[in-house]
Amino acid sequence: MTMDMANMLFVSNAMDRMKIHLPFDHTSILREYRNQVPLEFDFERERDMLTRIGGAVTRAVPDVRCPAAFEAMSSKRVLTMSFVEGESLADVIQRALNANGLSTRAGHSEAAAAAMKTSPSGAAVDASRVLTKLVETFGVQIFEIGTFHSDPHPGNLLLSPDGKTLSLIDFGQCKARSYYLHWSPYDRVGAVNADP
Amino acid sequence: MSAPTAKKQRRDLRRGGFGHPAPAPPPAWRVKLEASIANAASDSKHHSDDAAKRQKKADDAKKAKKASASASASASRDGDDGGGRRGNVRGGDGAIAPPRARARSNSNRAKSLPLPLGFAAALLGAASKVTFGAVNGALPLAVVLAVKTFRGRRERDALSVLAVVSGGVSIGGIKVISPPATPLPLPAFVPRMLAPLVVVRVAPSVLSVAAPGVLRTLRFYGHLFPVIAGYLKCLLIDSKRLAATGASEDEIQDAWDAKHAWGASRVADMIHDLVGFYLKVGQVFATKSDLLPPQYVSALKGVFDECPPVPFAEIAKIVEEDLGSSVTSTFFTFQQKPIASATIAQVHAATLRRVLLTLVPIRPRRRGERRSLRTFSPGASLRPGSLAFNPDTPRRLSTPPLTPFNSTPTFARMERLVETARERKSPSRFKTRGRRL
Repeated sequence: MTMDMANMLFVSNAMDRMKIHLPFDHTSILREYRNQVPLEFDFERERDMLTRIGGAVTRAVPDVRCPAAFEAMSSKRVLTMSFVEGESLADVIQRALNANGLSTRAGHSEAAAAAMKTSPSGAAVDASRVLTKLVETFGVQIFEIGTFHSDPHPGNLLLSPDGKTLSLIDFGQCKARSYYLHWSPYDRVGAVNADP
Repeated sequence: MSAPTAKKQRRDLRRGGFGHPAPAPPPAWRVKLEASIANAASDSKHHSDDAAKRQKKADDAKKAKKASASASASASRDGDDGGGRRGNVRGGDGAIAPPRARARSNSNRAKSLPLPLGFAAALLGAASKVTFGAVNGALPLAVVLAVKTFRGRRERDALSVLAVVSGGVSIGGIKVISPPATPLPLPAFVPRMLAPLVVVRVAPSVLSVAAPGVLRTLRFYGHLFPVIAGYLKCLLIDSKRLAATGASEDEIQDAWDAKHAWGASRVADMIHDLVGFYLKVGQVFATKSDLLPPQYVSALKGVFDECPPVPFAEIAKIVEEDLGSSVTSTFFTFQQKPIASATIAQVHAATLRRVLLTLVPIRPRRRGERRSLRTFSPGASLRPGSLAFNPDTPRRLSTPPLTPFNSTPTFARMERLVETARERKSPSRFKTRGRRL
């Protein structure tokens, strides 16, 4: 696997050196992956992150939850978690976008967001409320505990059937900020400002 | 010597030898060509007695002619055609001269050889060379085919070891391993036969055992180089040619689109072939629909489905090894069909004492990957000082022990369990999406 990574990085670097630029920064992405992906194989780390972030988030933000890990039935290769019911936000968004036909017209995505539903005939989703919760959740993660879920794509966010509870899953990719960054004066100002 | 050249010789033979009266003095390029042909013929002398005889006869005839012309002084220098070549001193009788010098002197003689005779010699030399080459190549081919009929992998591996150990592997004339003294008295043709055998048949299986990473690297570049070559061709030749013929921008763009579609299919093939980490990176890039050409995005759509689940028996083995008891005794129920499977993990639903759980056993990695991850991997080691060590990420030692302040409180956990149990009574349309990207 290291060799795979080295090969791809070599090609990527060579492209940079030859001034062949794809429209995105592939070298940086690959470097970050080289550091992060080996960590993802360790389920003990994932369980630690899940307990740490999940505990802080469920305490601080109402209606946001994470699965609970069962320590007694987990190891480096096996992770047992409680089942979280819900539908991924990616599916909800895609269905709303598809409802009136795909289009790039102005106002189409706003209309789709207003018409979001948890299922074709389910409860309506208050998109701004969900978004507020998501931002709050990440504020807590980044500024309070300094450890955060670094892969929050819509597929990793579950919406409960009543459309009110947001669940965060898949803590394989988490990052912790360094001690100095976390306690720097600049950050304290940010944290104080974020505090109501 | 290739067939077209031989054909040309025959044509020249017809023109020069028969039919045409008193041909004009040949131009300089032709003299050179003939000299080189005769040179090749003299090279093949070692392989063919006939050719040697002819050559010798030619040499004798040449000597006689030279003697009558009393031009021995000028013939002792090689560079008399004025090309600035370094002159090779020829030995007086040719027998004691080094082979290189002799070849040169032969070419010198061939210039004044009667044309039909020289060409006939060259032709015969070429034919003998082809025959020799065919025999030389057919034997190893036969050996390779014979080995191919071996069904068992073990025999093949044993043979490969034998091939390497018995030594004297010469590839393309370059000696890779030259044993000081072979324990077995092997004839000279054995290494020649073993060389292609080793390259074609044995090297992959040796590599897959000894250095799987190297084999993967070779396969990676084997997939990638055609793509690079294709794009270079499009960049340097096709687009320039189109621009020169006055094609519009759209036509050039069409050419690039076709190239993108072709490259995308090649890259998708590579990802499906190599799987592993390439699949993971492919999945990341497949989501970059705003950045990559659309052909790539559509070709890479398939990579998300390219995760065949690991059979349940292996999963059960992992669970049993890690949790210390069998699946059936640990869990009340355990769904054998995974809810989701991805590159690193796959998710199974299970119940424990009538509580619905999600179980995530890690996917066993492939052979080559595990090896490189465990042993020689500066990038994957998490020790301080290694490349992958990131002081920002907490290590196991530095994580605080679980306290009520940093873990989910017990009452919250109980509450959730009760809730899920209640919801299980009313079957819902919603299902968990456990895909891990």
